[in-house]
Amino acid sequence: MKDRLEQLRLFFPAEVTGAYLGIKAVLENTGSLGSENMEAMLGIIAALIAVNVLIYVRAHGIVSPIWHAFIAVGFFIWVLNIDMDRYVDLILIGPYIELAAPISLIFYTLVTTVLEISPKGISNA
Amino acid sequence: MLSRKIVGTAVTLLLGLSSATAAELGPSQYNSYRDLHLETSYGALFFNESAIRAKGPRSNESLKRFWPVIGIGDLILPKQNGYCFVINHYTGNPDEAVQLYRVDITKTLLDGNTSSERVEEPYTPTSDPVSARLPSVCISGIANVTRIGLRFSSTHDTSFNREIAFRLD
Repeated sequence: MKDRLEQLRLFFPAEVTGAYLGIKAVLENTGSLGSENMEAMLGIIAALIAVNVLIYVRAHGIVSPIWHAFIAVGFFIWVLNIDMDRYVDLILIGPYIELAAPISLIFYTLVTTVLEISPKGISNA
Repeated sequence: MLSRKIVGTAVTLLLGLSSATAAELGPSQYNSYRDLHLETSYGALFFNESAIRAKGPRSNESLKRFWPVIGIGDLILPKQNGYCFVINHYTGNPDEAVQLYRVDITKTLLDGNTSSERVEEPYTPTSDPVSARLPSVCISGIANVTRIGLRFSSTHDTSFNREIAFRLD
């Protein structure tokens, strides 16, 4: 599962994944427990998805809305898998997140493999 | 004869004190509505540690630090500037009607007087395990208060019925 998560992470700029992980660490260091601050983090996810789009458009010239939607879904799946406890109160998904998140990850990486979709030259050095 | 009566009264009093009921906080804290709803029963009472209902940005009522309150009677709570409690309202039944929950709050003041108020709010027993609309009550204005008594009830059934009290000094 770690390999799949790493495979998925490569689709997003390191600045974006680093930003989410940094904010997550700040919350944990300031005493945030369990699913606290879930709503705020959903806002952060939306903002980072927008940054994702911006980077793909400006740095790589990719404007396809289908691509951006696909990447947005992938980013959300990545977040659910690395920060699962925070989203247990998420409507529809929360009650089943321990199943939904890893299964979504498996299917997403399966789709990228079958359709031969690769990160568009994103540098993750 | 009088001394026997005095001793007898003292013994009776001591026995009464030692058999006074005591509530306590459970061993594990719940940090999500989902776990609170699914792992405890309908009507279970929780103390939301550190949560205080205040005006504006100072309010942190959205904290999720739920300690189950086990038993009835006197409870020991950490010193805070306010206290918030929530109740599990998950039944799993999607067809529940709107009910009322009541909390009768009795505050004992420094001068020995008591003040009472009743909180009565509607709620709907839920089938959604992540519902955030838990019946709740927050107590503030406790500057000159030495003891708070709470009596919980609901129009649904007796699941909410509980009496607890805690000291502030």
